[in-house]
Amino acid sequence: MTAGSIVVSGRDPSSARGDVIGVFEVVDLQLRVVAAKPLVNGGRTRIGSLDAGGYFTRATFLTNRRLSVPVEVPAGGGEPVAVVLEDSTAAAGLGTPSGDGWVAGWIFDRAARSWTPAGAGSVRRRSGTTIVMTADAPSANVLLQWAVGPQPAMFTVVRADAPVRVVSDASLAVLDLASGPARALFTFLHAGDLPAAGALAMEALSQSTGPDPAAAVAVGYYLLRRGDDRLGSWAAELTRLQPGSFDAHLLYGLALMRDKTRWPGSRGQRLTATRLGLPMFSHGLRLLDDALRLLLHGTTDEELTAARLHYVPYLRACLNRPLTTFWGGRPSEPALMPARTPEPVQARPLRLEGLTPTLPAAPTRKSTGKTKPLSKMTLVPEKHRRITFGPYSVPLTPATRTSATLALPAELAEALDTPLRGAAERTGQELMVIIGNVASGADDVDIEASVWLENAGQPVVMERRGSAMLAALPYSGSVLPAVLHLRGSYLIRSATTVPRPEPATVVTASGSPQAAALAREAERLVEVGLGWEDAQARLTEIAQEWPPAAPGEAATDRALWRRFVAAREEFQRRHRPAVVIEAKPRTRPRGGSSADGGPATFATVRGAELHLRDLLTEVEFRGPTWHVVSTAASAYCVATVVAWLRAGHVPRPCHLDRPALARLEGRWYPSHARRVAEEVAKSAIAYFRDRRLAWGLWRVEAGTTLVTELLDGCVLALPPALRSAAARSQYQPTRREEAWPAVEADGTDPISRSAAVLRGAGYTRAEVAEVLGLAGAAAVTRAVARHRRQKERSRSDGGAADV
Amino acid sequence: MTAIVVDDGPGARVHAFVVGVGNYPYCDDPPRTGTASRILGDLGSVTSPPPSAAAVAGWLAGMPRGDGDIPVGTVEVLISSPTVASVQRDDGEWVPVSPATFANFRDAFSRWLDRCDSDPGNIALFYFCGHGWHRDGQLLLLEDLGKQRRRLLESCVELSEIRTVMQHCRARTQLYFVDACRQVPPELLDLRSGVAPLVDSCGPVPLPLAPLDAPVYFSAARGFEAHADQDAVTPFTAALLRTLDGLGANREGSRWAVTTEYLGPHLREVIAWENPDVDRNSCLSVEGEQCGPSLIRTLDGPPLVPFRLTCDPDHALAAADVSIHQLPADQDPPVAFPAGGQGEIAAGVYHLELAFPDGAEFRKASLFDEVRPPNKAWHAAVERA
Repeated sequence: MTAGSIVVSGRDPSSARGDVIGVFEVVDLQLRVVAAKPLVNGGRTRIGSLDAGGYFTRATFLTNRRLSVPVEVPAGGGEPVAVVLEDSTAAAGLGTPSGDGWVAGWIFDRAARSWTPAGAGSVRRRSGTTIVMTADAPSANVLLQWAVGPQPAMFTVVRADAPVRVVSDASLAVLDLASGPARALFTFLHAGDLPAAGALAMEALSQSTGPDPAAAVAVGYYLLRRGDDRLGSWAAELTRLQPGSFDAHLLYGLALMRDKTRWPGSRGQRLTATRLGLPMFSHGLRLLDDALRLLLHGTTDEELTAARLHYVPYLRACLNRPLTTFWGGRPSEPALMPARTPEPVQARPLRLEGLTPTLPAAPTRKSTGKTKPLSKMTLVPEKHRRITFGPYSVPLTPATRTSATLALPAELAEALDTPLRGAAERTGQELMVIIGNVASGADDVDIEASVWLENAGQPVVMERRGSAMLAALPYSGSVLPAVLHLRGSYLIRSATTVPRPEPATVVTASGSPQAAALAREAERLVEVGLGWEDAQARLTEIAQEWPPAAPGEAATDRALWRRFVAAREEFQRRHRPAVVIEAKPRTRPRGGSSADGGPATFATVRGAELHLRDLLTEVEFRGPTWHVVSTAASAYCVATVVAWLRAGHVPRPCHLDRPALARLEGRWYPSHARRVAEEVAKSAIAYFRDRRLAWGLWRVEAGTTLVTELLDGCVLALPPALRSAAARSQYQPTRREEAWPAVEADGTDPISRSAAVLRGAGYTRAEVAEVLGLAGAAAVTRAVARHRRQKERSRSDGGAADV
Repeated sequence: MTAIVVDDGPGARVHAFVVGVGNYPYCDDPPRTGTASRILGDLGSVTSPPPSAAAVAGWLAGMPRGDGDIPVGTVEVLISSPTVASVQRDDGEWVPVSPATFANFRDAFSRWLDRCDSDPGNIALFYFCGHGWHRDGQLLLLEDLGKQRRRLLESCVELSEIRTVMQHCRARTQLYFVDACRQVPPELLDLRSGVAPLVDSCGPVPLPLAPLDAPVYFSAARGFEAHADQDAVTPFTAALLRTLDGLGANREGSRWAVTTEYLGPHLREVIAWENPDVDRNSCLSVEGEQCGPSLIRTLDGPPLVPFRLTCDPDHALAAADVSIHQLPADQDPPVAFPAGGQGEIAAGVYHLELAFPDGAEFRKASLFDEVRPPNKAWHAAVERA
């Protein structure tokens, strides 16, 4: 009998075309589920291989509505039977607040372990109904704070670069992901509807291109919830692809708790997660708390205790929404109840009409005359009013066994306008706490503060001595505590009367408010450490948005325009690349030397790589062709990474934490270096195949070379490999061999050293130039010569032996 | 001590621990001042937990079991009510039960834990109905709440502690049902006392964790209150029993089975079906981990599914002669259609026909549709003649 098929289409007038609006099942007349798939608005999903007979297509919409439609598959196959499942009850914008408000972005400062304001240009409108927040670490979770109309300020944790939109029900408007699969998965998981979530997750897992980053996180939560064996590998991959993601590390930590061999790493993964802010999925908070309680049961682990205490306020305040959402004016103070709060310094105006947000450039705050830098406008206290701060949980970073530095909150340092420094020293039965630089000298800061340890007595008032504050806490522990608590108040007497020096080109707001706001925004884009692409894009937008000069305001407008141009030039001066990479390495395929050994049909490197990519796609990244390419690529990666290790320097942006950096700069035996390099190469090749080639992300047309792809993979894989190497604390060689000296003793600059090492390893000058980002073969020659001179100088000064 | 022994034979069993707290004497007479006054003053005795817990215990004691199902072993029951509560066993005998004080709870919990720990195939079932708070975890408030007015939390049980201790238990299927409010009184955050431990420390939880199917079903989302009617079984508990009874079933091969996979979504549907005004998003919260699906019970045949028929226009239903046939057509005689357009019908595929007398306002209409748990809503658009 010929099999028939059904084509199912979803329809929801309130959703965008292509959105996932639910799931559907096909059940036979015995009510057995034959297939379960996502239901896409306007999409067409074909269910094939159906025997002739009656079926039902049953939809479960995100709105909780269910719908069942009978369908008859005719005998003899033929055209597929079309079914439309429509959610006619979905109402767009029900209860959505409309009007003016503001939106602000916050990014998590890992060093200070606190949320800091993001640049105003980091929050942008992406498309008709979505906004997006960008951050330097694209995989990190960020906080979007917004308030519109009568609805007070609320925070929502989203992934940087993930578009979000406003959704609402009868009670509340909240931000939700715009990604259809991620939004649907989180919604079903939040509701506890595992069968529906399963249909979405299975679809995502079966796709060769893989889900988008937010959906990948959601799939991880589904696998965790189901206790699926695939969680371990999925979460490990997530941490590699999204190293800044709280959710990824949390999932991996929870997966490791169930792993028979790697479970000792679960504690570290969870602590890594707690250093990355907050989870995107609200259940992540509960899962984290459950896991921390579990690990703390029957033990006294101060670090885990401190981590848990940090998250308890968020757990209490978290609203019943899929994304982590809570009320409040400050990220560090989640509120149980909604309350009106002042807008933060980095807020951008937001206008919401229905479900469509716009981000007008004109400021919503009323100007009072001369403009002042925004950072000073909102952070200085009102005249003679004492401002309270804290309580903060201040982490201690041990420097020695008895001393540690304090990671004081960045917002406090910003408020006091001084670079605060803190330290703690264990002496006998006391812990001496010192906070320095509490006054920078320009302002008269009257500050009072108390510190205390968890479960260890009453707060101790700090004593002011000059620009420092001291306190001695009773403490009998054998190791330094992980965290101490700080709170207090301050008064800046002169700040309100003596504002910061204002820019020379200050203009009055009466001239051209919109232009003034745009000029100020451009200046702030230069000040804040925003991602280059976003800042550049915003500067272009500002130039396009510049309003025409009002009658009689031409001079003011010219002054404002000059300010904007100056800011733009300053930005471009700062971000101009130091060198121009124009070298093309000879390692790439050339005409007549393609991977399959076939005849050359291309004359350029780009043509060769296009051909190689098509060839690999054709063979689906396997078989003899893939073997040849992967072997060559692996050898290239191993040689490169060995050179990096030998040089003690990675000549590309690479997020190395302290253990990884220490290991990189340590002493290497060739066998160990090769072992690490082989690990890195293996991961890099897998990354290239599974996440770049398979997803169609190797964009040769855009100038991305094979070398770049491989080096990116190596850079991603190097930090965990170094950490693993550091954990293997025995650095004894596997055979009799000489160690390369540690790089600290070298005394040469890393670029020159890397150039010399790579040349010594047999790389051509052009290849070295590409790897190191130098401006050409001549630059490599100069770098090697410089290295030689430095070595000679080092020897004559009694330095270390040659590398 | 009240443990109803249903089947104490060897092998895996369902061991249940059912707690209902309706009597809160110290909340009915709170102190006049202080934090305890503000916290306890908002609470008081309630009437719905005793009948709710008794219904659950009674259902468990007489739960029908299919072939291959794990039999019910014991049901540990604590109920606090103004008078001594009792539970009816399967043989019709009424058994008086102990009040849900903290001391009784602690003892009963230890016994339940020991029983559950006896076999890895056991199913541990925990049910609580009474007042609750949600601080950083769910607090279950027992009868002697407020007895120690300076240490209010000492008479509370933290659900997280139960779940953590149960990680040590060999039973790999654990079901938790909590029918209690989940709000956070602001004053609660000022309290410095902690909950008293249920057991001595049993040491760190051994890693790696073994797979555990342990969903937690709350009758309210975090920050919301649970609903209850005076002197009646709560809507959540009533829906829970109906779901366990068959509305949580799904077709698993050739049989109908209630598993942990469909329990959550079907329970939400049953609550919403029977309480149309309830907020579907806050009437149920499913947490915990699910490494299932675990089989709770199988049914002898298709479950009875509640259905509702509406027409457009409304008054067409009154004029219609409704007949309903299960398919295949020769399988069963026509099902008698109840007056009012709603009733219960066995899960299956049906052909439903609305006929009108000659010369009537409407034309004949028919529907062909499936009926599956947890419910079925039919809507027939009838054309005018």
